[in-house]
Formats: sequence, C-alpha cells, structure tokens
Amino acid sequence: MLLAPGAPAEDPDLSLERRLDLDSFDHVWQTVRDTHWDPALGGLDWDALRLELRPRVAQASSRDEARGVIEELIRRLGQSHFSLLPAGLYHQLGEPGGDETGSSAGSGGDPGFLLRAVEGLALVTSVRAGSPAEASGVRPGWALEEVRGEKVAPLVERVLAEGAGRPGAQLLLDAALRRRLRGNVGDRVPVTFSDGDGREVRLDLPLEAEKGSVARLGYLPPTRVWIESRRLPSNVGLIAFNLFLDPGTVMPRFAAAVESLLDADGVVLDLRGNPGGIGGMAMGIAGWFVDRPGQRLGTMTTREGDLSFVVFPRPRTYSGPLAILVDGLSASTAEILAGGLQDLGRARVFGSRTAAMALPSRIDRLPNGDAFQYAIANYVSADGVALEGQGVQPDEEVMPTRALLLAGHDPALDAAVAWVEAQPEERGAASDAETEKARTP
Amino acid sequence: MTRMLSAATLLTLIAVTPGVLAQDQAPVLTAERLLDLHAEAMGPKDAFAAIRTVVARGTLELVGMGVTGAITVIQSRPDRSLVEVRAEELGTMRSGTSDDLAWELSDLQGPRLLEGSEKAFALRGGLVDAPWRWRDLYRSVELAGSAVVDGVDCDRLVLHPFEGKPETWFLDRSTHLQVRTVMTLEHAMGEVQVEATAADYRRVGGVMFPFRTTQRMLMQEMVTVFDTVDVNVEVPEERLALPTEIRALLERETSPEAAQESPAAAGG
Repeated sequence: MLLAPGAPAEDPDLSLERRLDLDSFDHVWQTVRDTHWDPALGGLDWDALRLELRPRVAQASSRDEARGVIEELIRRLGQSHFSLLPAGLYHQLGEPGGDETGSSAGSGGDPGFLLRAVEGLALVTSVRAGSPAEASGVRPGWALEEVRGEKVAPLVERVLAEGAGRPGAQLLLDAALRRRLRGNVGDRVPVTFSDGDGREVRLDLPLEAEKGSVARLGYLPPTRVWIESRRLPSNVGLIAFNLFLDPGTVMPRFAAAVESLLDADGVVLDLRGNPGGIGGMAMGIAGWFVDRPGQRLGTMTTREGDLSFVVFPRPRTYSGPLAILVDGLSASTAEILAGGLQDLGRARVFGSRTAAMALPSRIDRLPNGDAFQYAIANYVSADGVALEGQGVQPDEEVMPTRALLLAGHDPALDAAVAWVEAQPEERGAASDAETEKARTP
Repeated sequence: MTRMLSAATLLTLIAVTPGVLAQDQAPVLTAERLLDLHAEAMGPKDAFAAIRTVVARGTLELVGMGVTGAITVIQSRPDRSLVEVRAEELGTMRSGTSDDLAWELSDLQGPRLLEGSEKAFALRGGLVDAPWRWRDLYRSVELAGSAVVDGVDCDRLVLHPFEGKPETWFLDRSTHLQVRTVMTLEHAMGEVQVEATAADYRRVGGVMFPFRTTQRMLMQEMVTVFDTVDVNVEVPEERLALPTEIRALLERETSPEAAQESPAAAGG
C-alpha cells in the first residue's frame, strides 16, 4: 500500500477509516516524491514533513481533519495543481452512485450569472440569456451583497486579502461564491443585490441546470462544457468556451466556428473564466491560427524529459487579426494557449493578468475515495517564461469598471474589437506581417 | 499520452512474432541468427505471406487515470495501416500509413503528416510481415548481452534502423518472442523514452500476436488488451483511405504557395 521506508509503527487499534487516510497520505507523499519534475522539491525536506504530519493523520478524529493534514502536506509545495477533491464531490456531481442522469450532473443548479471581483465588489459581469437571473431583471454591474443571508463583502475582502500577490486569488473567490450560489436544480437561492442606482434588490432565484453537456475526464468530477460563437455587428467573430474538455464535442464545434468566420475582419477568442483542461487542446486550437509549421506554444518539463507544445497548422487557417480575452480566472491550458500565441506574436491579449496556475497535472484516486491532483511537469512559454506564478500579462490591460458594466459595455471585448477595426484589411498567410500586427497597438 | 503512443508503436508490438524453438543450452548466437529465430518464432514465412489483412480490436487504458477507450488496429498489404482509438474523454485519435506516407489525426490536435525518423518508425510498424523483413528495415543489429525481463531470461539486441535512434529488443531466450522494447520515440513534440512489453501471445492464422501490451512513457502507463485478432477479413476500402483532412494537408503542401515558402519560414 505504498508505504515508504521508515514508516512509523501504526496503532493496531486504528479504525478502518483512519487506516485508509494513512494510506492516502502515503500515496500523496510518495507520488510527489516520485513524480515531481524537481527531485529536490525546491529544497523541501520531504522526509521530515512526512515524519511531522503523518502522526497527525493517525490522530485525526474525522475524515475532514485527516484531509486537512494531507492538504497541509501538499500546500507546503506552494504550487498550483496540487489539491484534494473530496470523495463526496463525486457523489454529489454524478459519479456512479450519485446522479447518473446527466440532467444536472457536473454542476448542479445555478442561477445564471457570472461574478468577478471588481473595485472590491462582487459584480455581475454577465447574465445568461433565458436564465432565472435574466428573467428576474439581474443586470451586469449589479453588486452581489448577500447570498443565503450571508454578507458577501467580508468574503470578498478576506479572499482577496489572503490571495493578494498569490496565483489564483480570483479563482479562490470564484469558487467561494459559486459554492454559496449553487445547489440542486429546482431549489431556490435567496440573494440580495445593489443595483445601478444603489437600491437594494432582494430576489429568490430558482436554480437551473448550467448550460452545456456533461463532460468527464478520468477522475475529474464531471462538469458541464459549452462553446459558443457568433459574428458581432462589426464583422468580428467571437468564440468562447468554458473548459478545455470533451474534445470530441468541442473541437469539431470550434472548427465549424472558425470555418464560418474565415471571412471575418478579426476573431476574438474569449478565454475569460476558462480554468483549462486538456493541454493538448491548446495545440489543436492554435493550429487554426498558425500557418507555419514548427511553431511551439511552450515546453513542459518532466522528470523523464521535455515535451514541446507544437502547433500543427490546419489545412486552412484563419490569417486575420486574432485577439484573446483573459482574466484572473483564465488558468492552466487557457494560459498556455493565450501565452503561447502571444509569444508567437500571433495574438494580441486583452483583459487582466491570468491566474498563473499552469502546471500540467494528473489526477489519481486515493484509497480513502478522495482524488489527488498533482502536477507532473513545469511549463515554460515560448519566450522562456514559467507561467506558474507569473501568468500571462495582457498586451492591453483592460479592467472592467462598474460604470462601464452598468452601461452595457464589455470593456475587454470592446478594446479587442477596436484593435481589430484598426488593423489594415489585407489578409494573407499568418506570416511575419501578421506577427508584427499582433505585437503593435 | 496516447498521442505519443503512435500507431507505429502499437503496430510494432502487434507485429511481433513468436517462435517456439527451445534454446536452453544453446551456445551464444549472433544477433542476425537471433532475429531469424525471432521471425520463425512469430510464424513461418509462408504463413505471413498468406496474410492479406489483420484486424485487431480491444480496449486501451491509461492506468491510474480512469481513462479507457476502444482501440482498433488494421494492417493491410502491402503497406497500409490504421490505428483508431475512441475514448469518451479524449475523442477520436487515428494514425495510419499508406505507401510512403504516415499521418495522425485527432480531435485534440488535428491532422499532421509525420516526417523524418518518426515517419520511418511508423512505416516500419505498419508492415504485416515486419519480423521477416528486419534486414530491410535495420542498417545493423548487435547482440548486447542478456537480461532478465519479468523473470524471463532474454537476449538483448540493439537494432539500428536506417533512420532514427536504435531500438533495444529483449527476446525470450527460450521462445525468441519479443517481450520488451526500449527505445527513444522521436516525436514532433520531442524525444520520449518508451518501454513497451508484449505478452499473452496467441497464434492466429499461423502467426503469433501479443494480445496484451503495456507501454510506459513520461510516467504514464498504457495497457492495450485485444479481445479479437482476425486475419484476412475484408477491410472496406474507405477504412484505409486517407482522411479528408490529411488529403487537404497534402494538397496544401503541394500548392504553388507552399512551394514558394522559404525553408527558413517553413521551419520557423
């Protein structure tokens, strides 16, 4: 059971639950020791950590307490993509034994609006068409004040303060808010907003299934994936998708979207809120925009060798101006794609700095039923920058403001469209001229 | 991971042949003689000659990842092949060879044409009668001692292909079946060390096929188990035809615009 040499003697009276937790601790400890791309673990004394923390698992009085100790172990690495997914999550989200209908699997119920931390507030940045939120009159720019009777401001303040200067602060806040807003489909969530005039608006919003189809990837909890595309009035194409998963569905739709936009004046790829997924999809998507073979988005380094994220150009590529939108919730594969195309000079990036969480990872199931996500590689962009901890810095930093949101604007999208409109109209292969175009304002 | 486990790798393993020639007390043999014995172990030359097609179907698992899929391998004389993997989580991945062409097409990464040593490796693996053609496929071979692989005494051979890095084969000393291959796979994304083992050999149509293969690369293990291997079944022409996307890539490569590209730009 993956017990490492030197394991302390165990109390024979330990409960089965605690033994499984100890086995899980050992699995995590040994996996990191054997697979981390840096055998020295950045100087951490991994053996000492085991001696320090393992007894606390044995002494834990509950599964949650034991899980907390394991989380402490992996937190000492100080890197993204090392986390535990509690076993209960799988049952809640649709694993065998849970909801298998797929009707609500993957995300449960959701009221239909997106939030971002803007100006220290949890602001609505978009409202899903046809959702309960839209039907109730919720509008971008409104500030969420309370969820289920809990004030939101202290949560925003605390998470942003704790996450200040650390990767993924926006992701942490997003996760915290989503946990509070979501529930079973058909349930209702009481919320209080402050509208554009500062008036308090109390609503009891029904929860409906999130849009998209349920996608699975190994031991990742099932989740909903969607992709949308449309042509804006300015003859600029907009393509957005929420996750790099389910390539059998997403990639053909992405291909169809690009094919339908080949004559557009520009394409905007919206990766805001996209936390990543399958790394290989970044290469596949880049192939629609890079015409020359041999280009690389970056390189991942594992203990057993390096792999370049090579772009394989499609038979027909889109050669016009390409803009990419990112924000603090764009992570992992989204950063690899945005950063890679930015480094190649093929895309101009708009929005705010990404989550800086870009380590290729795997997910194992632990003996106690939890899942363990762990990074197996470091990732360096084409320009030689480690995305982990750095993220992608947009070429044009465009932060949303409450006033602009209330006025119906999407500042990052507006800036991207304005840039496209300012580009010369000639169209050719995505060559040096195109590269230079993306680098210049 | 599956992307690196190209058709060539899979086909190399499925093309591995048996030969049940006891050599318990045999004196040290030359590498050339061992490869001839290996070919005989895989099946008589006339048995291979009688095979027009091979169709293998089974399952593929990325061990520990919770990812599984269905795999189909098709080989057709003289030199066409197809490996198709369908996995719910990863979509469809296909790779194939035809004449002097090797290609890959996946939902993840789209279409691409293989080049250089990667292409040469794929073409070698696409041959139905590869065991009997080792002299055509490798520039030189050498016996590099012995080793015990999973408790089996093996002869260790190093084969130098005409293009690409050497492959190390471990042949069961008693059966001359190939039980392990260690090599550097030269992929467009980089060089990857691959260790592949073959097991559960069964005779089909007079030749031996490993029904279970395990490949390990980049800390990931992939197990392929074939449920059925059939020979000389009819394979619809369209199954082995070049996919539309691959034909489009070929057309682009031969277009006047492509011909005008400078080598530097193309390699960018």
